[in-house]
Amino acid sequence: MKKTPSPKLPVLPLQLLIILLVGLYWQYGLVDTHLFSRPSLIEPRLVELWNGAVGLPPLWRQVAETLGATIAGLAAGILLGFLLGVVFAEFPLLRDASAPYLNAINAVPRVAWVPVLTMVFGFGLLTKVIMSGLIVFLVVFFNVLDAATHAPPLLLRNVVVLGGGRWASMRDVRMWAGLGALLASLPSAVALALVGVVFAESLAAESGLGALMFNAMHTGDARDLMISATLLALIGVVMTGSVQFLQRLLAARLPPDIAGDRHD
Amino acid sequence: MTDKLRVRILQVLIGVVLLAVWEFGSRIPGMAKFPLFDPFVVSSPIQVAQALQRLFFQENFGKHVLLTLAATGAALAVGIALGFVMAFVSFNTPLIRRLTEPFLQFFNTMPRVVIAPYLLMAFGTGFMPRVLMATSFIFFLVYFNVLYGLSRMQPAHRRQVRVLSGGRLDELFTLQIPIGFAWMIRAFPHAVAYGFVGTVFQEFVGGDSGVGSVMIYGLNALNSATVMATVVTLSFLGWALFWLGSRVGEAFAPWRRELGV
Repeated sequence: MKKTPSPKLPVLPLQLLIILLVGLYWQYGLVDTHLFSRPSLIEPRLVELWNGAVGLPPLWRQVAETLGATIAGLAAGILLGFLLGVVFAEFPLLRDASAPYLNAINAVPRVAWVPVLTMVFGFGLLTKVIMSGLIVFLVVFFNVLDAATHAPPLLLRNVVVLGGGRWASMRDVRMWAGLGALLASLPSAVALALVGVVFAESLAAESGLGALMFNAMHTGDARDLMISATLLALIGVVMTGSVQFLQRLLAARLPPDIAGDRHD
Repeated sequence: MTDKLRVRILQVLIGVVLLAVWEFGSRIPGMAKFPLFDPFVVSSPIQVAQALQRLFFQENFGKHVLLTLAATGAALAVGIALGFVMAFVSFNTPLIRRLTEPFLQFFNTMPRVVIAPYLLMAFGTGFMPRVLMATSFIFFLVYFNVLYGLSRMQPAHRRQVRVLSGGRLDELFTLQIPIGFAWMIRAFPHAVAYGFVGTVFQEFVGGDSGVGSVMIYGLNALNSATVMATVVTLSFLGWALFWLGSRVGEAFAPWRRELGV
């Protein structure tokens, strides 16, 4: 038999060593500094950006703007996607009649919405929120719709037997089935909310981390590029990580017979 | 009237209403001041049809479509091969698996768009950066799916290989590869869709050809008909690719159902 991996493998120190070596190589090795810059060059620039370099809002405000748009889009997309998902599950005619159009919208590569939304809503915060809201909505809606449509038929029949109408079946059965699916799709929803904001900022937005990043790309500023890209990566990883934590916390509290164990 | 017929009629009705609002929305009194109904901003179905005709027959749009599809295809080949092989290496060498896990998790969870500027600065606006961008989506999707599938392999099956005096290579070829392949096929439609999105995004950020670059060209020329025509094209291509990917999945790994994948 193959041995199961022993917990004594010196993995963590090795990982830290790898990070250290990469960092040292970045500072002293043969690196294309026009592309990756160096830590010693980035550090003063980071301080400068944080306090507000000439012609740019301070970095913390850019972070706040990107983060705020992400959270607003996330909240709007989840709320709308969940509500419509449950309602569409309850009314099959509505679901079937709108299916080809919803599928067509879902098939558009997300980034293609950016020019359209920019033309309609301009270069401001609204476009970012709507962009990320739209992406989150599509993910949540289709997941919730699928789960709420396939809610346990026995429970749905119980509602009818007990004299409940459509409202009761949505409130007592479909909503909970959808909630399980919502919880399962949360990590990807969070990741996509951030991607949506950055997509929107990629196109000449006035401020935000994505704007900083793409402006740095156009001017070829390796320091600004590294700072904004790293911050965005960190924000994405931290947000996804905390949502996964929340997911584990909440999953145990859902009624398992309806919400089910959906972790795919 | 059957339910199916009623649904069909409703579908057609919704389509007609949507197209009519799109075409004539600005002529409803009081609506023209909203940008959502302004034909200059959202164009109109007739203008989009004319733009599609112009793009395809006069401006070589077919070449851009083919280039986008080619980049997606190349990325699929590279990303799937890489993700597949890496998943087996990781699964069979616990040290490598545990060593690389946090790094791969980090790169998988970070918003992939942040590498777009680097690809542009390092490789320019051509074919290569698009393939790399799309590969970065496909690789992780395939890698994590195959690895997950392998880790759910039943111990009884592995014991069976031993009992029949099979070595590690026998296990790899008779057990691991069919299972891994089934999980790769499960991820395949999504890999196609993500590869397409990655390609279009890189063209969008900075490409000298491809559908994404045509879209940006239309936007810069403030030609909303061109922009909407590319959106319609992309929507159709995205749908067609996902459909094709699902069909391929059903055809290529008939033992999937047996495995419950």
